[in-house]
Amino acid sequence: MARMRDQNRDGERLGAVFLLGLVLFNPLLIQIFDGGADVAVFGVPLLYLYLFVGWAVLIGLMAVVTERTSADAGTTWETRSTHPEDQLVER
Amino acid sequence: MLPGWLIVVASFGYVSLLFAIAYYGDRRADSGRTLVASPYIYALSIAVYCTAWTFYGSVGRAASSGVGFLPIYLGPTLTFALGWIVLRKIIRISKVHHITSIADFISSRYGKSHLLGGLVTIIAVVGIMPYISLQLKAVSASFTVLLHYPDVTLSGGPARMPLFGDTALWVAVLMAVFSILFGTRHIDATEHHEGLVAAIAFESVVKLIAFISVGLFVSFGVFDGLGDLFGQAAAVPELARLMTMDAAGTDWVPLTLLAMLAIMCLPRQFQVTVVENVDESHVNKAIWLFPLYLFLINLFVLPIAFGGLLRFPEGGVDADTFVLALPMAEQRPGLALFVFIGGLSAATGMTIVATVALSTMICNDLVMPALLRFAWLHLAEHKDLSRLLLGIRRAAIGFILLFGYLYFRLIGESYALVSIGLVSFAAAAQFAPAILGGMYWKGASRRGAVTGISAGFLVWTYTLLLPSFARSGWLPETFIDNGPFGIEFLKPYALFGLHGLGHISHALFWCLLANVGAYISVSLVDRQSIIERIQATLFVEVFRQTSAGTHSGLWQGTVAVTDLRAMAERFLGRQRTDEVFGEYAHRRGLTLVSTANADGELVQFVERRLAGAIGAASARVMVASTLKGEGVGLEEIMQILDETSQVLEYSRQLEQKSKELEHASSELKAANERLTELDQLKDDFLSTVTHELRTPLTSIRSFSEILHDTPDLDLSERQHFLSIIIRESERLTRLINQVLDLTKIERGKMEWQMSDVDLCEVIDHAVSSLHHLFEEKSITVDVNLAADIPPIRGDRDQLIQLAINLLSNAEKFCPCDTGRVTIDLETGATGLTVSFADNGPGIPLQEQEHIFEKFHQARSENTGNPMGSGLGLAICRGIVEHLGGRIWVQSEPGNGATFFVNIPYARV
Repeated sequence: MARMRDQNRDGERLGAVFLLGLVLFNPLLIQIFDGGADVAVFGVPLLYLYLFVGWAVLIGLMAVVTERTSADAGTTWETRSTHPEDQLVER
Repeated sequence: MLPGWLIVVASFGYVSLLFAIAYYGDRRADSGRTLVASPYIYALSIAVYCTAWTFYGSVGRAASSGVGFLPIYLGPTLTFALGWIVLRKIIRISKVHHITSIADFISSRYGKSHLLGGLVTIIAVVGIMPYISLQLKAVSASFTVLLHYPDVTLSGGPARMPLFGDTALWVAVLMAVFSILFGTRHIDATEHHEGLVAAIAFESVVKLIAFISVGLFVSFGVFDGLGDLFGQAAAVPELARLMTMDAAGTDWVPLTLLAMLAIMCLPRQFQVTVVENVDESHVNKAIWLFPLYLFLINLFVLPIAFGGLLRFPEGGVDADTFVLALPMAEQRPGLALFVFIGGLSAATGMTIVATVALSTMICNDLVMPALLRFAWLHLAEHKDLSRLLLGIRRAAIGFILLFGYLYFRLIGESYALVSIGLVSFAAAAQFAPAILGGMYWKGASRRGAVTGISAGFLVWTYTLLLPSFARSGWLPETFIDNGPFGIEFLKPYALFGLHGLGHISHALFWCLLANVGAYISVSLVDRQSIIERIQATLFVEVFRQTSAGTHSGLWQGTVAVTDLRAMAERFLGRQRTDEVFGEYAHRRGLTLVSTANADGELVQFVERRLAGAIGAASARVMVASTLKGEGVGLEEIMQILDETSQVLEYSRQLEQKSKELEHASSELKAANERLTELDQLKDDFLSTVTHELRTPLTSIRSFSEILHDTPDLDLSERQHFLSIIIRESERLTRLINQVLDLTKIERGKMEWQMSDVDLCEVIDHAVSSLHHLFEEKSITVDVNLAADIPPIRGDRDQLIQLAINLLSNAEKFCPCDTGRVTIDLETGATGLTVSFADNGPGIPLQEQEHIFEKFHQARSENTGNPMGSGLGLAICRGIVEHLGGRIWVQSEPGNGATFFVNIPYARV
């Protein structure tokens, strides 16, 4: 049961990552970092840097959430649930 | 320096390698040691999303709109973040229902509708065909560019070339061969093409490495790092403009949404992500691996675009070919050839998967249903249709690639790469409402889906497909500029006067509005058929059902007796079912053959019996489902009903359990109360005992101290004090003995010397030992004992103790001089009853219950008798109960008290 709850929990976490992505790649927020060619970090325009770093952070978060689960539980979705409701239909 | 034959040999070599990998993959799969059982292979195969359009077109788009290419890749990243919720559900549903394509998925959800399956297939073919021709065009164009090495300015499409000299044709032919060989090897329920997937994964690696190689070469070989590259670009005003969001235009959000939908709805993505998925757990890793792949392949798009724009400032080089042109301009033939191979792998990967996916759809959802409908073919009677199926699929592959090629030859050259890709995306996005709605909204109906998809497709055709024809010269240009027949209102790129958006965003808005609007409104006013409702429940609640795959069988409008019996048994129980069938057979005077088909009367008979158990409507559904010629399988209905009844059973069990728990907890509560009470009693006992011990001890101590401190005390006084000390010591000893006795009795540690005892002798003994006490208070003792009474079984010493306790108790309460104690003995049927009566003040009724408890007197303290330890009667009760007897009291306040002791006779 506990593992199942964890998995639901991770679903919620990935949902939060999705929402973060919506926020990060929203034109309104991007606008803040849109300094054109003048604003650059190590020669790379801030806009480009922001988009790619934001993207990488997003992927990193997704990796952390999913990898932590598989490391913790060592199980897959294929694993039969121990929930009684799921066993009921077995004949 | 880079002769044509070398390019051709390299290309053929590469394609041969693909064939070898696919062949090896299939061989491994056949021998059970599959290559593709890895999340990495799975993630790489999903990267078939990155086509030649990504490989060449991204740079082209970046060169004109800066970061405007990114939404196409950010969208899938976002969708994969939702993978846990959405993707996983699609995969689970597809596994449970053996879904083989996106058309299959949609038609199955909406009541296994042939119409819907066919519609989706047609839209997919019409929408994806330009995309396939785009791949052919990319290969052809890049081949032409490479052929002119090192001259890059002559790029662009081939002006006119002879049919058999056209690279695109040869690519199309090779891809057809590959798809036929590895995509239609056999008809398989799982539709896994392991060799094909292995080859696709390999192609994903090749195109990624090729693109990153060019990126590194441009950034660090041609220019002096990214800072230098962007610095130089920033100095050019037109290029500096690309570094703002303005360059990306207004399409940012619509394109992100479009890509989010496309990654789910493109037939080829559905094929690799869902159909070819061998293990659900692979999705776990793919959730971040595939976005990582997209990230890596896009990392150098902007540097290459700016590199190209800086390197070819005077124009003349198509930005779509920068990836290839830059290494050529820098005299790197090896790298250029590698890039060409990378582009080839991107194009072939997409072509192969899309073709296989489409051919499956054409075969399963378009051709076969049509063939089965033609009765004169008698197809339904054939046992083995797999050869026919394979033939149809192979023909479909050839057909798709042929048309893809023709499309490219006829109109594909007029249009930039990116636009064709987005047009296809928009077509695929028409499936999204039906798919997503179907997974989460049970009320979505078949007619709603058909209307929604049709409406979306029509608007797509009008706003994107027809204008692309117009641009290719098939329709007059005025169609775009002035609207059809000059009606401004209907201009395809500014429908109903909506303008200010890009063509794609504009079309997407109207498509989805029409699609979702029709889908929802029609569904809301529609009534679902039973099979739709069943399928809707199965899809929406897929995680609540068992994951064990149940496949819906094909019913031929009849039902075998066994099946009918099995169904009835589930609701009526075995015995009752046997009776029902027996009754039927008896009434009709026949014997039922279990394998035979049930006739109409039997079915009706069973239905009526079932109605008694589960209600008429449910019985009708059940029986109708067993008789369905096609559609939902009995198994699925069973599953639903089973589940419902099991859930009920489960909740009933829960209820029972909670009742048991309640009961146990109340028992526990009672036990706890009892324990608390006992604990209280123990505390009381201890405090009373110590109190009782302290009183004699205090007097002993004080008289001892007087004797010690005043040595000149006269003798008589000394004697008096000493006698008090002795008396108090005796009292102390007695008390301690009583406590010890009582605890011994209570703990069962008392040593009983059991023998036959004459009770008269015992009482005489007790009376005589207390004689002087009665004398002192002038109490008369009447002993009325019958002679010759039978002996009782007991411990003589304890019985004497019992009598002494009761007599001294009587003595205590008797008044001086007028006191009278009467001892009577009666012989009963089973034992002797002795009574000790006194004429004391008596015992109040409420006290009578407690009088035998330990320290009772001491606790009540209203007797004021200092000699009472309160243990005497408790000891009496202990002794009597041990001997199997009974002790009780009768008393009226003011008239004395009588204690009765009943002790059974000794057994002979």
